[in-house]
Amino acid sequence: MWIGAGLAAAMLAAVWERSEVVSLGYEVGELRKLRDLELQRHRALILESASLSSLERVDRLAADTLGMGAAKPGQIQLVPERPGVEPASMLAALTGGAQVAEASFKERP
Amino acid sequence: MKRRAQWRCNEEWVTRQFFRRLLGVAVILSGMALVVGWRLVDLQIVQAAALAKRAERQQERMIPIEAERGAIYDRQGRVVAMSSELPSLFAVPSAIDHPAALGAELAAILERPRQELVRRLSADRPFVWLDRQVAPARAQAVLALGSEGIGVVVENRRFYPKRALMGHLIGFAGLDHQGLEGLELSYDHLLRGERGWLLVERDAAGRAVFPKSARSAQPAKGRDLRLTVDEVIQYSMEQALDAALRQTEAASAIAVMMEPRSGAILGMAVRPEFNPNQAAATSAERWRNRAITDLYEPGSTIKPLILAGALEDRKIRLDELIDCEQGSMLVANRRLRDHLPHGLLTPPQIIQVSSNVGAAKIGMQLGAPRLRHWLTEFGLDRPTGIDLKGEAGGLLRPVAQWSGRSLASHAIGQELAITPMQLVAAYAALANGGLLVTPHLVDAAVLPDGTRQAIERPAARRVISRRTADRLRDILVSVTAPEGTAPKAAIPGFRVAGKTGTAQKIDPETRRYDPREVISSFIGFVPAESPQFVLLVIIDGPQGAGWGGVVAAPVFRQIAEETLHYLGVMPQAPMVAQAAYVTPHDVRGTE
Repeated sequence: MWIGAGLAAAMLAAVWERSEVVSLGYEVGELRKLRDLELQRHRALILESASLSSLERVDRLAADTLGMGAAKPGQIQLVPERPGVEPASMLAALTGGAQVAEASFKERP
Repeated sequence: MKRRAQWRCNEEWVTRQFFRRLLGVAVILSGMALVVGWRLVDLQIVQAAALAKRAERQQERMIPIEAERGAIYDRQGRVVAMSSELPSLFAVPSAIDHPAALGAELAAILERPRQELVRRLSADRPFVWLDRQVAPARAQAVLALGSEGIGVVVENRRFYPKRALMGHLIGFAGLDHQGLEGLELSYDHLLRGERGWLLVERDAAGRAVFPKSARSAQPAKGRDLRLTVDEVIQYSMEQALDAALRQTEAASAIAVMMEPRSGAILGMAVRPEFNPNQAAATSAERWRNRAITDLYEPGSTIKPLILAGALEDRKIRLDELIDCEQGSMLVANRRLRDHLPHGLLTPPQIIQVSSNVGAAKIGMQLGAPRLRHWLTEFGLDRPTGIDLKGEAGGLLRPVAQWSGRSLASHAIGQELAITPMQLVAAYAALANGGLLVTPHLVDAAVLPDGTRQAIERPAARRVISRRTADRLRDILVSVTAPEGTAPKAAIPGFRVAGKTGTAQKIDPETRRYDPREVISSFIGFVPAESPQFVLLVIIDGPQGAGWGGVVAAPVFRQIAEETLHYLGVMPQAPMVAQAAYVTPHDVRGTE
C-alpha cells in the first residue's frame, strides 16, 4: 500500500511539474513579446526623433513659422578677441553701436 | 449403473471441451499478445527513431528569428537609416459575413477607397492584403472592430528618416532586407547580421507553449555603421546645389567634399535628388550616384596635375616664360584657342588665367608618355577604391591610340574622361602634401556591444613631393585672386586654392563638341595652408554663361563658407569688408 501511495505521489509531482513548466512557458512567451514590443517602440521613437530633427524640416519650420532666413552678406560680423575684454561687454558694444562699444569695454582687473 | 457411466462420460466430454476451448482462447489471446508485443517492439525499437522525429515535427515548431539589420549613423551619431517593425493587415474573405459594412468601417480607419476594400473582402481567394506596413494605431483600431476574418502580421521595414538627404550615398535595402544600392549594398555583409531560430512545443491550438532554450540559436544583430559624412555639411551641399539648379536651370549637379589627409568623405551630394523611402516608385536612373559612376571630361581642372608632373620631372621651371601666342595655336591642323589673347606667361600665370595654349605647351614639354604617366599616378585610370559598388574607372587611352592632337587635348582636359571622385582624390594629393589617399564613407562598424571595429584601408601612396604640392598650392591660391578665373570662390579671411573647369559636352548626334552644352566645375581646398577639405562642385548643363568661375565657383564659396563656420575654423587673414564681387572682365572664356 505504501509503495502504491509513493508511486501515486511521484506521479502527481511529475504532473504538477509538467503543468508548472507549461505555465511558465506561456509566461516566458508573453514576457518575450512584451520585451520585443518595448524594443520596437524604442526604435520607432528613435526614428521619429530623427525624422522630426531633420534639417529640411527644421529649416522649413524656421522659415514658415518663425519667419527666419539665412543671414545676408554683412549681417554676420566676426568679433576679434581682445585681451582683457569680457565677451559680454563686446556683445553689448556690438548691439549698442560703435561709439558706445568703445566706451563700454571694461578692462579686467 | 449404465446411467451413472453415461453421466461420467458426459462430464469428461464437457471437461475436455472446456479445456479445448480454453486452449483455443489462450492461443488466440497469446497470438494477439504476440501481435501487440511485436507491434510494441516495432514501434519502440525498430521504428523508434523515425517515429520520434515525426512526433517532434508534429509537436515542435521552428520559429525563425530575423536578425535586426544594423543602423547607419552619420559622423555625429545621428540616425540616417534604421529598421523597424510595422503591422500589416490581411483578411480571409470566406470568414467575413458582411464585406460591404466592414469595408466601410475599414475605409474610415485606413483612409483608403471603400470600393477597393469591399472588392478585396469579397474576393474569391483564401487570403488578401488589406494594407501593408500601416501605423500601429491604425492596426489596433482595425483589430478593435473584432472581425474574425481580419488578422495582422508584423513586417520589418527599413526607414530613412532624413528622406532624400544622402539618398544616393545610403542607397536602400529591399523587402527581404538585402542591400540593393549604395552603402546598404556595399556593406550588406556587415549590416545584415545572422538569422536565428527558436524551437518550441505546440499545443493543440498550435500556440507556442514552451521554448526549448537548449535548442535555439539567437540571431546576431547586424553591425551599425558610423559614416564619415556629416548631416549638416551634406544638407548645406544639397541646399546649395538645389539653389544653383534653380538659378542656372541646369540638368544635374554634383558636389563632393573630402578630408584631404584621411580620405574621409564629409559630404557627397547628387542632384536630381533621390528619396530611398520611395525607391520602388523611383526610376533606376535616379538611384545612380553620379559622383562615382559618371565619367566626364574634366577640362581645365586637369591643368594643375599636368604642371605638377612637369615640375616633378624637372621639365619646366616656375619662372620660365611660355609664349601663349596671343591665344591661338595650330595643333595637328586644328586651332587651339584661348578666349582672351595672352603673350608670355609663366606656368603659375598660365594656371591663374587658365590658358589652353600655355597648358598645351607644358604638356608638350612633358611629352605624351610622361603626361599619361602622371595622369595614372594621380589615379585617373582606375577606380579610387571608395567603399561603394559600381565605381567607374577613368577613360584614359594608351599613348599608342593618341592622335596628333591628343597630347595638347589631354593637357587641357579633353579626350579623357574621369569621375568626380577621381578628381577629388587627385586634388587631395595636392592639398595634403603629395599623398594619394583612398576615399571612404564608413569610419567604423559598431558591434552590438558598442565596440568600434575599424575598417582597414589601403595605405596612402606618395604621388608628388611635398615641395611640388606646396608650389601648386600657392599657384592655385592665385586662381581665386581678383586677377584669376575664380574670384567668386574667394572667402574673406581665408586663402582659397582652386581651379575652374568648363568642359564642352559631346553632341551624341554629331559626335562633336557642342559649344552650347557645357559642364561647369570648380574644385578647391581651404584653408590653403592647412586644408580642412577638398570640395568639387559640378553643374551639368547650365543655361546662359556656363563658365566654371561664374556658375560653380559661387556654389563652392557658399558651401565652403558654411562648412568652415560649422567646423569652427577661424579666419586666418584679416577680415576685409565683404563687398559683392563683380565678375572680372578677364574671367570669361579663359577656362
